[in-house]
Amino acid sequence: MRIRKGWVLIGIIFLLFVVGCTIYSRTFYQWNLPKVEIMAPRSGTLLLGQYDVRSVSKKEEGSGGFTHSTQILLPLTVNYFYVDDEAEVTLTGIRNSTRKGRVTSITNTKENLVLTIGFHAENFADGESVDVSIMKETIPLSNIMPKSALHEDDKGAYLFVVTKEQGTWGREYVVRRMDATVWASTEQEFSVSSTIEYPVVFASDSKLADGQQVRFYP
Amino acid sequence: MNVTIRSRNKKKYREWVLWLLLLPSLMGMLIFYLLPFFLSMYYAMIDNVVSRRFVGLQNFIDTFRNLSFQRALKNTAFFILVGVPLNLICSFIIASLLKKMTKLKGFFGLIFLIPMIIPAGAVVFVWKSIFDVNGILNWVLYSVGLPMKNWLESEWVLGIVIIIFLWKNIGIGMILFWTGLNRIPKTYYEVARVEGGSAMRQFFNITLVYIMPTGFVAALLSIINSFKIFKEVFLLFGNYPSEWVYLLQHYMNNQFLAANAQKLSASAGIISAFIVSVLFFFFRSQRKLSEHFS
Amino acid sequence: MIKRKNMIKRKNMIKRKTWQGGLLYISIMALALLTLLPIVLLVTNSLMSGREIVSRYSMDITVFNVLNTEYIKAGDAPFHFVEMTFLPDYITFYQYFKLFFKSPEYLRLFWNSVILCVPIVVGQCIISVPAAYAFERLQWKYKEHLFFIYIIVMLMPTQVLLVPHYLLAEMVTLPPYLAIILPGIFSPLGIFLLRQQLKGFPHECLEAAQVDGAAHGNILYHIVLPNMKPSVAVLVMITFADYWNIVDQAIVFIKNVFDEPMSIALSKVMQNDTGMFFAMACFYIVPIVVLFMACRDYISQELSFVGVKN
Repeated sequence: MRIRKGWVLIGIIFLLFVVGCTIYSRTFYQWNLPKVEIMAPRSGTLLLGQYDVRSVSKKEEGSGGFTHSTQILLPLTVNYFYVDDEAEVTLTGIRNSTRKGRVTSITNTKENLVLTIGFHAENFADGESVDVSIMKETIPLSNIMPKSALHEDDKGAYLFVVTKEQGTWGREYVVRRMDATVWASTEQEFSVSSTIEYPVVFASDSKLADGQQVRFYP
Repeated sequence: MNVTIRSRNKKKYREWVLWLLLLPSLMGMLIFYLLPFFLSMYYAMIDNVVSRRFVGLQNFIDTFRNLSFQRALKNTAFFILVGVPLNLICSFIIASLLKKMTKLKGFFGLIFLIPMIIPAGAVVFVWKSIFDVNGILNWVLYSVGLPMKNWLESEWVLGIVIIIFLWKNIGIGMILFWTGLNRIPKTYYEVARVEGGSAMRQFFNITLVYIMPTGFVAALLSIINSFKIFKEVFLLFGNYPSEWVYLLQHYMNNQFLAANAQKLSASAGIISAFIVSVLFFFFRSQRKLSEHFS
Repeated sequence: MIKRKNMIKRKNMIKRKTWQGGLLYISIMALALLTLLPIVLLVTNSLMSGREIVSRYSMDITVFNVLNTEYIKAGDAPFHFVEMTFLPDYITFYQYFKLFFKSPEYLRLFWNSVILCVPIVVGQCIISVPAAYAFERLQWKYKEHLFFIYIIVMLMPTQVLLVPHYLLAEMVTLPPYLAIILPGIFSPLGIFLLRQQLKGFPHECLEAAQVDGAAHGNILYHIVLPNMKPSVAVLVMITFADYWNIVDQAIVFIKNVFDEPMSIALSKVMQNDTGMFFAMACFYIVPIVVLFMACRDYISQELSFVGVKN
């Protein structure tokens, strides 16, 4: 009539095994989580495009009250310039001759977009070479992120944000999918229409899924 | 004279040591069981946490009039009145069968004890798979051609719960009856056989009489365990089961979730009074019957 | 002539006895198998892959079980019966692998249960042993009345005792685990069991030791305790089984999903992640079965004691 030692041994081995698994889940499992880099969206403006084009100026009266005008050719994909946008016109080679011009008309040809820029110039002759510098920025936005933060699947475009949630062993960091509609984008950055309160993931070392626990680069 | 005084002091000292040994248990019992019980009685007698007016027995009467309480009482009473005797009979049959076997007794006894220790959460899925709409029972009925039914929602649910209760509790009754049967001296049986009694009379006059005390203990344990069936029922059906399986514990659980301290205490008071009276009746009848038979 | 008749009768009786004996064995064996059926099912099904478990046991018709559907009535939607089996289609340990190495949340549930059970068991032993001894040796007018109160409290169902605990926990704002552990430590079941064992202890032996000059503590430790080992083992076993399986108190007190003990979390796993359920259930019953096997001699002995001495 005694306690069977064999079963006690089995019990102790089992317990040690579970302890080992728990230790593993607190160390190796944590170390092997996907690593992400996060950032807070920056405020600022997106530079939609900047073009420096050399073209020829024409002297013409009328047309918006400008003395000279010049035409520059831009790709057809550029769609963010409007009439009355500002441009800077510099007489080629001559410093301190920069003056402000304005877009007076925009037309399309088959291959290009033609912007006509009018400017005032007292000493310019007709047919002089000018450097036109025109750029377009958005209004000040508050959430601008690099393009690597944007992902797409068949349900639409989305971002990954990192939230602190109550997890198994306390609070842990979890990525959550957040649907986003792109409001404006350049080639490297973009901006969405909603405000983002959480840090955004812009780089990770493996493919992420919604609800996955992550860790940060040390 | 000196010796007696010293020994009396020592005796008093020893008494105090004994009380000291008992103290933690007494303290714990007082703080965690008895005092809160009076607290709950106080809560049962007031009507509202805010106004704390004394209303006496109004809460108790309200609880009695509550339809769900009555339903729960009916279901629980049916379950106990059917389940416990069934459990006793089955475990007695198995114990007497086991007694006739010569080898491997201990092994089989062990096997019947195992369902008692298996936690409810582990086997709930098996019960669900058998008795659910698409379960094994319905499949058997369908293959044979009989009509199927949603057993878990129909009026047979208590029967299913009784089956689960039997599965779980046959072991303990069996062990008790087995040791009780072993304690009846074989000489009684031989005397009866010599005197020419048939097997039936043997059973009634000898076995039943001497198994009575063990039977009472087994019945008591069965009643205690029948309240624990709530574990399986809760894990199977959740918080809001169908009305056929709504037990007293479900009623109290709902009161917990509603955080209604008054109704809670009132129902607890009623149930505890009920149980105390049942136990009282139980012990009285046990004493009377054992006097009658010896 | 009479001798031959007797011989024939005896031979018939022997034949009937062995025939009856065989029937007995078969019936007991069948009953035992029936009793063990759910557990064997648990173990074998835990070796299935998750996909197989889901396709067998769910009501939804997927591409994996579309061949096993029945049409109950003509024109009705197809209906899928549960296919319970003891042999998986192919045996894989993936569920266990996932449970132990890839799901920290289930490990935490296990430790929740352990944190709940172990203090209660240890506390019960520490408190009940001296208290039972004191009950036995005390001479006081109202000792039996006090013990009667203990018995009444012991026989109450858990839900009824839960109400005072709940009110106390609300008043004093105990953390949920303590609200379960503290009343569990002081439960009168231990004192009752241990005192039953002590009743058969000869008092003269103890009194002789006392006359010889031993203090109560010494008596307790050196004489009584070694003989109470079976009772203590059974107490540990019963208390552990009770609180490993805890359901009533846990629903009321524990609110956080991650703090739940495994007993109630298993049913949630059953709904969310059915594939893991069997492996987790097997994981869950191992400690209690190991404890049972280790103490099984004591249990049968102790149950017989309880039966006799009441």
